[in-house]
Amino acid sequence: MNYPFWDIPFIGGGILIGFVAIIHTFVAQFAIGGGLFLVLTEHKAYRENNPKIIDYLKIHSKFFILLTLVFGALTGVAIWFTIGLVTPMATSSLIHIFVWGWAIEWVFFFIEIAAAMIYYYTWDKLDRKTHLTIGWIYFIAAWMSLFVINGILTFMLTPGDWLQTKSFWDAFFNPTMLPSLVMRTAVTIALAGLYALLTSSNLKDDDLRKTMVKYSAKWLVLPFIIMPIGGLWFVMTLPDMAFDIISGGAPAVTLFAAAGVFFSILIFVFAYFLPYRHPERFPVALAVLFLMLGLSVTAVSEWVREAIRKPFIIYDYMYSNNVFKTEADNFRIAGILPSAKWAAVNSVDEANIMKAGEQVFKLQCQSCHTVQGYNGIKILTKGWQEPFIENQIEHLNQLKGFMPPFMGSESEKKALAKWLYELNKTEKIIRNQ
Amino acid sequence: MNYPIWEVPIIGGGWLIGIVAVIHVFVAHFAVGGGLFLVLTERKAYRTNDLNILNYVKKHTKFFLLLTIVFGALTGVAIWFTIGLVNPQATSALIHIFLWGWAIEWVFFFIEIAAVMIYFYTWDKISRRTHLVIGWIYFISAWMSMVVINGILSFMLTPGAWTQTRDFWDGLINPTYFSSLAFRTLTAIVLAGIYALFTASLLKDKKVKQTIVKYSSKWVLPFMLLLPLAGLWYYLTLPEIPREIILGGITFVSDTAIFGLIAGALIFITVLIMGFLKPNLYNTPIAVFVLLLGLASMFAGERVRESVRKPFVLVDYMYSNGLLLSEFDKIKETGLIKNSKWSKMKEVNEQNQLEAGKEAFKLYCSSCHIINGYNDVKPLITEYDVEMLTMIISDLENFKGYMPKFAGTETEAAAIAKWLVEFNKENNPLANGRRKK
Repeated sequence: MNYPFWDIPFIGGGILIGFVAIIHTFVAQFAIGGGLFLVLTEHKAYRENNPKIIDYLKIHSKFFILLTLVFGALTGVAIWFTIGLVTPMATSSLIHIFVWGWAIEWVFFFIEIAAAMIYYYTWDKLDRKTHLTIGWIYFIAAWMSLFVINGILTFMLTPGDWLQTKSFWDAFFNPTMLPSLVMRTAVTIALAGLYALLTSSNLKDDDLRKTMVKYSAKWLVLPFIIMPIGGLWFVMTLPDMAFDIISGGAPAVTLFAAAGVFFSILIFVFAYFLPYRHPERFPVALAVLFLMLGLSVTAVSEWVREAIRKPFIIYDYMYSNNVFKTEADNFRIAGILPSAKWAAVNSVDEANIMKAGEQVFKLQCQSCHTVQGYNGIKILTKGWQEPFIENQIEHLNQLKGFMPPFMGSESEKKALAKWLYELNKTEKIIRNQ
Repeated sequence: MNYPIWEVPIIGGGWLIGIVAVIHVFVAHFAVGGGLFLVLTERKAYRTNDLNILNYVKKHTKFFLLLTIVFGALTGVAIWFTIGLVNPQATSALIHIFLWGWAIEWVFFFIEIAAVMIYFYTWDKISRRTHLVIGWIYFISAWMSMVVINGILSFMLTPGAWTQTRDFWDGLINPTYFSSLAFRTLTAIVLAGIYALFTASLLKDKKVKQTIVKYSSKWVLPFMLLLPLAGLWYYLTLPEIPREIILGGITFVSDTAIFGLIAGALIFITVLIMGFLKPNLYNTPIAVFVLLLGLASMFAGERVRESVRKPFVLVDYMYSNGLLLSEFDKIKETGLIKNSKWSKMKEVNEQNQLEAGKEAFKLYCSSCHIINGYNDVKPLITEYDVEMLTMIISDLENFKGYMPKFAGTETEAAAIAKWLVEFNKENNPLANGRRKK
């Protein structure tokens, strides 16, 4: 409770992070698979002695560095900004737990950028072998940065032995680290193919376009085989409750997981019928459509991964509302307001009860609930009487497994209940008569 | 409580209806808009004296006939079968309230079938003018069947003044009637274009194909631009609670709505660029792709419409589980089990408590919660004990606004709670303390 709360109206902070992060991920994962695409395609061009492919690669690598280095890096920094402002405690924890991990990731990122720049500016200036070596350095560094970040991301869902040992390595090599790495690597290859479809479908030369479109489509074959296996493996290694949620415990999550699978199948099946079977008739617009479907799959699957982590932001360590699990008991006795350094009120009395209630809502609930927008609390508590609200708050984590327990004193609970009740009081509509 | 409960494993009855119904409406809307497409395209062929277009319309008619009359009619009957079995009370209520509505709808459907048959079999056999008239008869009767059914469907969500007056016309021409009719009519026209793009993509002659693709895309694009307006109108005619639900009150409904909008936008972009601007690019896989996106979009729309109706199947008249609001007090007094004609037992006592709890759950909860399936109750109650669960069941409508008020007795609430906790202990590994802090 060391930080002020940043109130984002209507959509809430979670959606804001999600929005920025999904766009970033969609580009960042391309940055990895796209690196492999560049070097392997360059190899192919030399092997077949086809200078036209090199011409294509020059165009593609320009697109590639603009998108990944400029846009990718900018959105990456944007993630730091948003997570730092929306969930400062969790961000701080992740930095502390993985300080050297981040440092190493930053080194790889630096190598990545340098290598990509050199690669792009030395076409025809270096000998083929050196140029290829630089390409490989780029790809390996990019993949290593995925390797590091994947460890940190999966740690949030499955911290594993780290909870006891607090060892960096236990945190990093956590239970879902490997399946997730396999899955994400496959995704990067698929994205390399999807983005390559975009640049190759834009080529003027008919023969070259046909060859490259078909070639790009083939990049989807391997992911098509690996992704179901990786996905299944990932699901098998999930904690009980996360597995529970994904397999029907929260219908919304199950449906979104299904939508992700459905869109993936659409991409693969139509990649076969359109660019692979008919590379001569594959327009840019269709490539854009494929990319949008790819973006939808990324959005849906990252959303599912985040949803099954509830009620935690770091599993069994920190709740979604940035309260440490270890702090929870203390807050129940002493109250949360006294330790909230930025709260307008630090205790509850008769005079400030509404203000205190609102403050407790901000601290405890608003990480997930807006007042009247997305997941808005107003409609969720419509028709509730004050004692009923109090009872609900008391049993929060039992009522909904994906909500954290209420962490506040008796008087704070009463204040929150009152504030919630007043929210709807003016226009009480009880649907059930 | 007059009918036995049909348990559909894993997906549950609601999804079964949903799957059958979405497939049906995806074809049935085409049957309406496609009729207009047939006559207007035929007329265009005569006016421009273009034999190629005429040949295309003939081919398209065959596809149209097979899909709408055979597949459409079959899936329509399948809806009656599924709703009749899954929710007999609601089906019966709708039949009783709209008896003459159904009868009239059936007449229009009959005219529709007869007209389209004649239309298909009399190409080149009767005068052009008569053939066109038959086409118009088809379209008008098809649209009229939508005019009727739309009233019944929108009634389920917004019964309006009917709740007081019980007047057929108040029920049919209800608050969302016109906005919903506008939305569905536009959808029908857009679908006519999307299906026409499919049959056009099958044409051999490149030039003809391009012409028809471009022409068909004009059936999609302008009307798709109007759809958001009709959607907004529909939204504004909704009661307050459904509106709040859509705008974030239940995240998953908003997410589904956004999903439908995205699928719609993708259709628009694809048809604009590859159908209208560069018709030479359109081919069969793209056409199938657009059709599937259309299906996804339709699924999302219908799903949202059904979700915002909870806790009712017929708003302010019947709960999702088939219980009439008018019978609520009587049942609350005597109990679910006693009032259920198909229960194995007639009362709840100490000996049969668990069995009765299971029975009462089946009667009251299983229309939405499928044991070992969709919306399974086990993970939802992992942490509950009997006492808390009893309290929640007694206060169901407050607990979640989209659950119906509990109509059983106190004893029955306790029996359900007891059975759920016991059942959960045996069947839900998480309930045995593994997840306890």
